[in-house]
Amino acid sequence: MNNILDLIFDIGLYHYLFLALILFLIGLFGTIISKNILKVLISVEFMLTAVNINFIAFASFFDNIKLHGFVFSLFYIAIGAVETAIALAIFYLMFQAKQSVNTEDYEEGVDERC
Amino acid sequence: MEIDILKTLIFYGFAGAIILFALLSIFAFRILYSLLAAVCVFFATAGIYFILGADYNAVVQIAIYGIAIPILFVMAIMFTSDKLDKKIYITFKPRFFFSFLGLGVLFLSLIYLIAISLSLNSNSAWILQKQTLFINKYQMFNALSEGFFVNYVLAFELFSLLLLIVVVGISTLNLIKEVKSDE
Repeated sequence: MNNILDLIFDIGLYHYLFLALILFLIGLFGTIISKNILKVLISVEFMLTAVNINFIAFASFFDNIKLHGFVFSLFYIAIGAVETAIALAIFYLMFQAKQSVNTEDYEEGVDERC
Repeated sequence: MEIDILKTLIFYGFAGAIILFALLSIFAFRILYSLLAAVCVFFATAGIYFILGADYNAVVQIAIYGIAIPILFVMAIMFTSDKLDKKIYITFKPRFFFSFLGLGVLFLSLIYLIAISLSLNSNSAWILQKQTLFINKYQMFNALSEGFFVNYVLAFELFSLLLLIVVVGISTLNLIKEVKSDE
């Protein structure tokens, strides 16, 4: 019983990995079920954030000298920003073609105007 | 074993906020509320980074994910707001239930895998490791600068090139559209 309480209340690497897993699954879930394109993009950002938590947790617990995970996390944040900018630009062009934010309206693709 | 109550409370506070606002973001009725909940998730994540000793990453997280990217989303919502209705944009087709079922099975199998590996293999006790060595702030900046400018300088330059390509590419996308509409 005491061990279980320690496992719950004594914060270790396990807790951060568990949090990242839950956030990643929520992001994956949102990506699958959302019909709004913007909401799909937000869910993808959740998945990127979960991966960042893993990077920083592992670096903080195992790599106190070089901190490679911190550096990679910053690279990953830059990738996330770039991905969002490109995705929103493409979304705007698609929106001008079909005037809709619903993903199901794009199942047949967009016409030649885009 | 001595438990740091304050650290535990702060961790569970931020973790609860992350999960709550992430779910709220997915199930929100309006896209603007969804975006606000997502901003809360990003700020709470910065708090988690701060607990882990990554102060610089927390600041970058707030600046980019907490402020810059939401501005992009707000611009996109503003450009498309007159076409958006208040209908909840979540599908209730079979893929909803299958995805829910699949994610549940994946989640449980991961937990089962972790538990089995902990019980069978003494080498996997690393997952229960506690943070004993705290990160010195000067050491962190030293490690970050060494990482960016010594170890991963090529990747750093490639990222700067990638950002340039993105800026030029987005401008070119709009130019292509203007040329097509002229024709």
